[in-house]
Amino acid sequence: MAQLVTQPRSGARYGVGRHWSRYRAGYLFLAPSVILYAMFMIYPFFQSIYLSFTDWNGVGEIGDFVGLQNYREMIRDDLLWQSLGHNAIWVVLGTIGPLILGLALAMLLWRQPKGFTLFRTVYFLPQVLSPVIIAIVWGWVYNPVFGLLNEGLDAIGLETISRGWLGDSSTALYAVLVAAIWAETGFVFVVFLAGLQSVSRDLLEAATLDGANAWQRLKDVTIPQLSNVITVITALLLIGGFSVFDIIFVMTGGGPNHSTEVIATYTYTEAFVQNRAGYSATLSLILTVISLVASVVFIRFRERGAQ
Amino acid sequence: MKHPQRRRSLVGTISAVLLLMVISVFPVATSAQEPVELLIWDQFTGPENEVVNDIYQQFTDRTDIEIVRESFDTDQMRQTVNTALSSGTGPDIIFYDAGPGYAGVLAEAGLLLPLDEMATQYGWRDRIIPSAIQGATIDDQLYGMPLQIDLIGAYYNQTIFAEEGYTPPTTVEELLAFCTQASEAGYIPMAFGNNPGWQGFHQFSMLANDMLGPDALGQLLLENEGTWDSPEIVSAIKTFFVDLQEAGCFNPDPNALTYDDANSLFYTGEALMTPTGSWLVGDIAENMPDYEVGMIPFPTPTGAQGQYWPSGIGSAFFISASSPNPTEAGQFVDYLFSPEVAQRWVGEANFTLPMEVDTSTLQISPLAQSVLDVLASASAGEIQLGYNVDVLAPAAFNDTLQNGLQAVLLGDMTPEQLASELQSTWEQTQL
Repeated sequence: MAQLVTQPRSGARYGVGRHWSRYRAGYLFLAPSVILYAMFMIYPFFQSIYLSFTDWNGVGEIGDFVGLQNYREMIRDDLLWQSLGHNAIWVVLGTIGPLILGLALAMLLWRQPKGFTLFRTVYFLPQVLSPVIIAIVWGWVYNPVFGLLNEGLDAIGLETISRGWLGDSSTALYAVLVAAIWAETGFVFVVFLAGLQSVSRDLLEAATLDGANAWQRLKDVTIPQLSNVITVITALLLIGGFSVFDIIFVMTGGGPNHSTEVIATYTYTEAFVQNRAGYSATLSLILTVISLVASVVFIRFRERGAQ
Repeated sequence: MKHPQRRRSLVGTISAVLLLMVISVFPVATSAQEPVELLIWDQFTGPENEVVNDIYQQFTDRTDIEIVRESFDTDQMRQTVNTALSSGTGPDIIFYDAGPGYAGVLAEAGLLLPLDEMATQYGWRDRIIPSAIQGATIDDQLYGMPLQIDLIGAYYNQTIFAEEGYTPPTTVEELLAFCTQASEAGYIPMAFGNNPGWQGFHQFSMLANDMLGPDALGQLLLENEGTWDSPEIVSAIKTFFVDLQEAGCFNPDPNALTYDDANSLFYTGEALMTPTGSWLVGDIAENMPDYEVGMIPFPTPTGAQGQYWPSGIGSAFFISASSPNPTEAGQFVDYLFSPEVAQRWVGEANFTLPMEVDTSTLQISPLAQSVLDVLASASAGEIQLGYNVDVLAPAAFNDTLQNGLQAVLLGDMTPEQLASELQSTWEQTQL
């Protein structure tokens, strides 16, 4: 009986009609999701491609077809390249930071020390906060007049380091990045903590008996067993890093003088401030392509490494 | 093994769900007997919120026209209004920025209703001052009814000024001397927050009006006569964004401080002055009950043509071209500018209206009265008002100005370089 169900039949004996008759309920179950996905994901995606060939201002009827003009402009657009550079910094530091911190925190709680539940909750807490709240709170921390950071630095005699962290073009991006890493680490920590439950303690004990020190056990025994977890987290952080918007928008609006501008904030400005929806669609497609390529390359790289 | 009954029931359930989804996408036409409902999107999110609710409710009580109110902050409104009106399902009435980059774009796309006929029908042109009507006119057609006319100048804490024996500065020279005195006494002379950067528009407008004079600045903005890289514009940028900063007139790192945080410094008395617009009068009344506050035109820089208050209309009421009830929408807008409601706008919401309002029976703070007096003097032709540059300039120019002023504050760009970039961007926008 089971064989009859799983064995596919071929040709005219198993035509479209019988296929439909057999799987109708399955397709109907899928239909709502497919319809919603098509309406809100696939259609807008292809519409964005179309808009990228127009000079639409985002209001009323779609503008004139301008061919590749937006793409030519994009290549010569210094601000786009500057934004891309900021995205690159964000992706690298915004991925490595939470990975290292999240893993370190998960290792600390791996053996469920006293206060495990409290620490797990505290470490995860930033993840449940809205990015806007995080941005506002960190904005206060960095405030040049009453901010906690500057007051702390002043209190320990490091007033020469005090500055307007978000208003200085050399520090603004990194200041926002620190807030984002703080927010992201909770999620990474929880995933690592779950992943560590499947790490074989037998292997660790064997490595200890073979004389491996703590660093060697981490590097050669624990991390290899977390490779799948690391792949998933890294892919998520990479994609998030390329599309980062809210925390930057609230904390600096992309400034000062574009020093925290990333592709998403630049795309927003072009669409909603400059009324250049056509060009903005072009920028958003580039963002999609970069995120896609980076994720695929990374996952392939990891798969090859695993083999 | 197979359960055809159960399967038919399952298929029936799923079909019903799909049918419901389809029905929800195509709403059934509403009955013609239902009372008229007007959806209004506004930006009254400050202390005036309750007064606005009451004003709207009174209209419903009198007319049976239901007002559904949805409030947005500026960013939310800018993100949603274009799409909402383009879809034909947006609000009937919007209270939105009247500038060319905002309502101007909607009007050009045919999404706003021209109000010329209604203006004649209700006599709006007789009520609203011509310069405000002009500000909401696009391609010779009136599209909006401006509720507020703004003045930009400098607020100062009269109470602390009196206690410390300071006099309000009238020139930049006097301002520099005041900055030294106030700093030595432990105050921040002037609160200035320029994060995310639009605040700099107003300081630039004040100095540019003084240096060029409103006539020349108006010709440059409206008729493209003149240039932005003139020595006067360079001096305007340098005076505020270099000289005053170097003299310690501001709080540390203006680019890192938000508008609200800068205002807080002024509200608490830590800062003694703050350069911004008359829209803050209501917030000052609410947040500074223990202080007397005055407002002065910004101190005049050396070599200025004169001392001017930049002025411009803020947001205005617009009617959607796709509103199914334009007549009722017009009736509502007319109500909002009736003498009775105008008194409430002035007396309870602390707004400065571009129309004559009988304030004899109102309890108005001396600060609000001083703003009304300036506007009355301007209306009577006794003083000339200046232009609020960003309200009239194209978005690309404003973007260059915003980022450039931040760069000048940081020392990453000179006033000469910024003036040159402004001219270059201006030329591109005029093509």
